[in-house]
This record gives sequence, structure tokens and C-alpha cells, in this order.
Amino acid sequence: MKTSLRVFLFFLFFTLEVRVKAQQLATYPNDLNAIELPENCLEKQSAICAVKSHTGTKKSIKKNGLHLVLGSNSVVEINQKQIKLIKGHFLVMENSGYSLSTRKLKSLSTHGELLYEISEENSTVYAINDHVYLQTKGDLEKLMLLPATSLVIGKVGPKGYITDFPLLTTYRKLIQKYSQLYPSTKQDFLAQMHVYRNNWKVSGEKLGKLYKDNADLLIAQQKAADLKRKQSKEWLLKTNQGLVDLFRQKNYIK
Amino acid sequence: MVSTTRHCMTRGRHQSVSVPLNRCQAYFADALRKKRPIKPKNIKIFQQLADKPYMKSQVFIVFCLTIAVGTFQAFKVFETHFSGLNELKREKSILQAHIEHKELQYELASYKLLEMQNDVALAMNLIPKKDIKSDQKYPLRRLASVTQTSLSPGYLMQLAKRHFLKGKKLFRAKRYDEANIEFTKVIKEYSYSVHVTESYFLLIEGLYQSHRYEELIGHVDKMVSLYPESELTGYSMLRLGKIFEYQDRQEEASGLYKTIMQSFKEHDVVRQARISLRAIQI
Repeated sequence: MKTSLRVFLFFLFFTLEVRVKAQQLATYPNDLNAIELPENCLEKQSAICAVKSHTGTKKSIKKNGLHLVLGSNSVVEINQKQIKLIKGHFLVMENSGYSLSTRKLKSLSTHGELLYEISEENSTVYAINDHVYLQTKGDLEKLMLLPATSLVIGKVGPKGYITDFPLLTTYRKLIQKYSQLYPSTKQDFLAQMHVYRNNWKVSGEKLGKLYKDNADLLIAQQKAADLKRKQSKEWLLKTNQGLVDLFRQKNYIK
Repeated sequence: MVSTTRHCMTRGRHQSVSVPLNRCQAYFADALRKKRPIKPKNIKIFQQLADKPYMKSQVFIVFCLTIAVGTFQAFKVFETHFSGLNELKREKSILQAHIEHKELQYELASYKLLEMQNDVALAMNLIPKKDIKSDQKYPLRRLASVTQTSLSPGYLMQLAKRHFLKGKKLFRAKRYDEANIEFTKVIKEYSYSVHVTESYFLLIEGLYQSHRYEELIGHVDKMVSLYPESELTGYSMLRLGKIFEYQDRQEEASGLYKTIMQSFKEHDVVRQARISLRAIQI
């Protein structure tokens, strides 16, 4: 009886089906996080190299004087010393010796770190712990962003690309974006955020003054526009007085 | 567990009988308790059997599992080797890489196109979107998709438009009193809106339909003062002329029509005024 039970148990082991989740074969033997065009162009140091990170991964590109982190599904084109941010989210850690440009920006540079976000309609630049200098296409002057501020760049307007007034970037918003791309350790990140907090306070005060000046300017412009409108209305009334008088006379209104 | 699998042999009168180990132990324990002498041959047999090697059940299970896993692995290797699955997987990965390369190429090309569109839009300055509605200007309209007048949505203008459209809807539904409230809002609260002239005109029409002629005259007066050059002012004056006609004030009506004919250049307004004047004269 026991022997037959053992034989039965032995047989059962053979009928047991073990299901194992299949592991996907590595499509890119050299780099699982990104696709390069031409193949292995970063390693070969090709003149023109396009890099795209895969969905859900980030790709760090380190060269002499350049440290760029690509967020999920982001595309960048490196043309010798020129870098074009094409699509997605980027964290620029270092860009000495390289010139950064985008579809809307002629140049973008910083001595510290910056975040650049490209969406369907707008692009946003986040200055983290240093000033960011940028120049939109069609604009002759460079703009300076204070640390801990951000700038939204819209579509083409009557005078080049439309840029909003710089905004102070909140902790929560920055941590959410910055932590996703930050390539170093947690301690380094916390140290950066500590510096950011101090910068945030200083920039907040400076931006407050700028907002006030801007509001004063807008009020003055509005007043000037109102005055002009009033004057033109008066002129219109005066010039059409003849017609008005004729109308009133004919219709016995007054 | 041990007691059920180990056995010791005890000899009966005629043959050897296999009894479980615990029974052997019970035999010795009973003999000790009753102070009965233990037969030396029984001690010897027990010792021999206790030292005899045997297969534990755990070992048996491990053995079975090893065989099972080994066979399963061998089967998988055999299956993958002969089914060509590895080949297919390799092909799939190559194709996937190819597709992703193509996608990247497409993204780079799209970027260049969009960049060019933006550069052209910049070079052309702002393209007024309202001027490019016709089908012939499709490329221009595509180009205009990258342009924008302002980042701020112009809430006030949007609100004015909303009131105006609401008024228009009510006017079409012949709910003139409610429509007039909306048009009055547009006139008073959003005086810089592009819909003010039209609001005045529709307000006058609404008042005419509601037979509120006194108010109507006041609004026509305002329209003449503020927008004397507008075609809609001419139409409003025509409406006033009609009121005079209904009130049997023929002379005043004809005077008004003549004023319209003198003051407006728009063909339709002048023609309407002329027709109305002839009707009075007949």
C-alpha cells in the first residue's frame, strides 16, 4: 500500500506543471536604457548621434564637460559640440563646452543644474541652484532666470516666442520632477534640496519686487490706454456731432 | 514517524515476524517493569535491526523532486532546441530594434519639420488666424497652429462672448426680454468687446419685437452717437423709420430715410432706405 502511494507520488511529480514568466530577450545588448542612431554612436563618438531613452527608464550621458540625464521616452541629438533637446524631460547637470538648444530656444546655459521639459504646446525651463541664461529664437536679448524659478515658453507670438513671467517653483513640484532624473545618491539629493531652500527664499523676495514693478508698469500702460481711448471717443463724438444733431432734429428727440 | 518505519524482528515459535519498533521498545519496557529477564537473542536482534541502514521518507521526497526538476529542465531544453523558439525570439528582438530605430528617425524628422514651421512663423511675424479660413490657405493654417496671440486666455473677452452667444440663442428662441438682459450686460460690462455693436443692434431688434419703442429710440440714439459709421447703425435707423411709419408719422420717417441715404455708403442700407422712402411716397 505504502509502496504504491510512493509510486503514485513519484508519478505526480512528473505531471506537475511549473509556469515561469518568460524573460524578455535583451533587444539592445549594449544599452538596455536607450536606443542610439547610428548604433553605438555614443561609444564610437560619431559626429551626429541621436539618443532616445526607453519608456520608464532614464539615460545618463556623460562626456567631457557634459552630463545630461534623459527622462522616460526622451530624445536628444548630439552634433559635435551642439546638443539639441528634442523631446521629453531633461536634467542638465553640466554643460561646459557644449551649447544647448531646443526648438524654441537659441541657447540655454547654466553653471549649475537645470531641468527642461518639452510638452505638446509649451516648454518649461526650471533653474535649480544657479542662474540660467536663455535666448528664445527671434529674440536678440538673453533672459536670465533666478535660481528656484521656472519659465514657460509658449507658441510663436507677434514678437517672437511668448514667454510668461518667471514663476517661483514650489518644492513639491521640483522634488517630483528633479528626483525622477537625479542620478546621484539620496544624500546628495537632500544636500541639493537644502541649497535649493535657501535659494528659494532669496529668489522669492527678488521676484516679489519684480512682480511689483511689472504690476506698476501694467497699471501705467492701462491708464495710458484708457486716456487714449477716452480721447479718441471724444474726437469721434465731436466729429459726428453734425450727424447726431441732424438725426435728433429730424426725429424730434430733443 | 521513526517508529512507524523502523522495524525490529522478533522470533515466533516457528518463523520470524516483523513487528514495529515501538513494539520492540514496549517489549523491553514491559520486561524491565515486570523484572522479567530479557532474552539475549532478542537484544541482539534488536541491535542488528536498529543499526541496519534504511531510506528515510524525506530522502525519498528529495529524490523524487530532483528527478522531477531534472526531467522538467531536460524537457524544456529539448523543447526549445527543437521548436525554434529561440530563433523566433531573436528575430523578434531584431525587428523590434528596427522599428524603434525607425521611430527615432521619424521623431527626428518631425522635430525638423516643426522647427521649420516655427522658424517660418517667426520670420512672417504673427499670422492672424481669422484671415486664413479658406481652404486654399491650408498650409498657412497649419503654420498658424504654432502661433498664439497671448499666453493669457483673455477671460473678459471670453465672458463677453459667452453673454453675447447666450443672448443670441435667446433671441433666436424669441425670448426677447431675456435676450435683452444679456445684450445689455455685454454693452455695459464689456464695452471694449467686439460684440458691442452687434449687441446694440440685436437689443434694438428685441425691443422692437417687444414693442418697447421709447427705449428703442434711446438705444438708436446711442448707436448713432457711438458707432455712426457702422452698417448696423443704418439698419437700426431703418427700424426706427418703420416705427414712425406704423405710428403714421410719415414725414418723420421719410426724413429719416433721407438721412440714412445721405449718411451711409453701404449699398444694402441705402437701397433699403430708398425702397422704404418710395413706399411712403406712393
